[in-house]
Amino acid sequence: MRTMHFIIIGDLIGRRVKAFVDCLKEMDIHNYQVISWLDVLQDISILEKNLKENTIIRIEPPEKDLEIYRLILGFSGEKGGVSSQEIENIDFSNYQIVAPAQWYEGFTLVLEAIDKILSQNNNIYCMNHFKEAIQMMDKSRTYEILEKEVSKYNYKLPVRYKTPDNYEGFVDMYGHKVFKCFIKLRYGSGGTGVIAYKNNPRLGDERIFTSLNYEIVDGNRIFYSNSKVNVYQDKTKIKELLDWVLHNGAHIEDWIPKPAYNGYFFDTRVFVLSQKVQYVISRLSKTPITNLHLKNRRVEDIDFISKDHLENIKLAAEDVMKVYHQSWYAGIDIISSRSGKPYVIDVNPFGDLFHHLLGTDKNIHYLEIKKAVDLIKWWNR
Amino acid sequence: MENMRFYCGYDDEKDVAEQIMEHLDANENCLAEGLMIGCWRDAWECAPSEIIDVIIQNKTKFPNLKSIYLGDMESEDCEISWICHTDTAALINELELESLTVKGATGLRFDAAKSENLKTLVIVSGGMSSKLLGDIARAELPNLEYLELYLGVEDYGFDGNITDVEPFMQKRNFPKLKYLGLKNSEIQDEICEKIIDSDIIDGLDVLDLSLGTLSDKGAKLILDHINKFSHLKKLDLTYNYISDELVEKLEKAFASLNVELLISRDDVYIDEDYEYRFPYITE
Repeated sequence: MRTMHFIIIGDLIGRRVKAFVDCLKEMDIHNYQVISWLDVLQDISILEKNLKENTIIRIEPPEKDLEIYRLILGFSGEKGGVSSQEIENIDFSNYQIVAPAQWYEGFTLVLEAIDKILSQNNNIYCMNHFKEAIQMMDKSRTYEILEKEVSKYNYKLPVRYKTPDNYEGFVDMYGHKVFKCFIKLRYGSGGTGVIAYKNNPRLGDERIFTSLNYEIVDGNRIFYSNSKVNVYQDKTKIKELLDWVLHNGAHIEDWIPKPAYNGYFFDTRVFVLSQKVQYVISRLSKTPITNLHLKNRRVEDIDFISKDHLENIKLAAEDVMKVYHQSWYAGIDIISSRSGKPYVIDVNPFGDLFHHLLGTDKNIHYLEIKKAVDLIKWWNR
Repeated sequence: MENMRFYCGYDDEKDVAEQIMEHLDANENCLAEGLMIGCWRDAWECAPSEIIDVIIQNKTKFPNLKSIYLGDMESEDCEISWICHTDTAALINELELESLTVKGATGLRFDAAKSENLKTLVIVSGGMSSKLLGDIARAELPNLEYLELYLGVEDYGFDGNITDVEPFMQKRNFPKLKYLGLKNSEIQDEICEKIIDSDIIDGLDVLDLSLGTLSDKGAKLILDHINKFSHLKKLDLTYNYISDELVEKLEKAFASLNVELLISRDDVYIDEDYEYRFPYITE
């Protein structure tokens, strides 16, 4: 068999590339190459030049390097309304979130271009399925795809609500009754741009929980996400934040009450690889937003979930991956209702980075690498 | 059987009253000593009147019932201040309960409550109305040993003042009280001041002034009248706005008295930009 070769496309400033490469080294695999998103975006032919037979490709999503963000925006060809000149001039020093829908469009085109290159080469194994990954990164599309198949499988979905264009429309639609929902940035990852909203008009009590915030810089509102979930009851703040998310594309779902454990609310991230659950972790938080990177607790020892409910959660996650059957892996976020029904609230195509497992034998990347290597060997048997 | 919990979850078809009836139909009696009543349907709009009625109308079918927790729910289900209640005196008057805990105080009343059996009463809230405080103050509960009131703040329903709280400091109203919690209050310093001069403190084992806005003002009063606290088994000042210096003095003073002092400030959030101080449960 010819030599096996890994290519990892990633963000050199982020943690993901290092996390994966560390596992390769630990497994005594030194035949790998890291290609920065910056290089790919400046000249996509770099990929073609480095492809060999028996290459395993792994895509890590862009993370911290905002120059990558700028280039991906540019890749969209201004489809989202931000011009090339404006993209060039964006000041990312304040970590603002700009035109997420346009970024998504750009990233879709980038992945399609990479996919085209890979399809023209033989004996290349890609750990990601681009088309499905792109679908998963669109929360509304994911919902529609899962909803279409929901009757066949064991997972449930929260009720979805119509999405108005702005806060005024939102109040017209939902302001007359007690209303609790999650307003999610359609093309946001993790907790970015997620607003947990509740309103009791009888008491005049409207409040939101979110890590999204804004500052006014040179007369313009700059929106950004920080690591702390804040509660806002100020009407102006609520309006501004909802307006921004609704304007940038939102997906609105019912608020499923999360179960509580020791004063924390939790949902569960299930990592599925090759159609089998490989890892389960519960994400505990005192706020309604539990995403891992928002400094919440994670608990592996999930004795506080009954066996029946845990089984339902695992079955639901595996069923989600039957719908996304071309994808090798994903992280599925599930809320188990008190009666044990598993509600899927997010599907993350890059949901295999568990920060607390880095540097440990349990790092899920070891399993991914082993299975990918076995697959290449099987191809070459 | 100790406790039984009835709860209407997000996707449960049957509401709590229906679940209780179904249980009684299936088992003839409910042998639980405690009933935990969790979220009922639309708790933010509907008071648990039907649940109370079902229990009262079937009281003979609860032969062992000693305690009820009405509103055992989390903010994910319903914010405390949103939970709707009604006059709940019947649970005290008609049943031989020893303990009643209620979470939420919006619409809650105990009109003409009277019981020889009730030993424990706890109201967990973001704000108790003066009408509700008046009901409890006037209630005939001669054997009450444990009273815990989360008084709360104006924004969430506390519309009274210190005179509404003073009746709970009078021994003649609650002669057997051993645990008094007048807590989670935005007038915690005033409560501290009044309780020092009250006659109820002498009979207490535990005084609970926790989770409120107790500041150096209250701390100094406690230090100046330390002999009034020396007989206590425990003084709970958890979650407070007392300065480091006075916390240290209080810790030293109470260590020498052999009184357990709880004075953690772990969950206190001080906003540098504002002078506001918030009790623990204000949502």
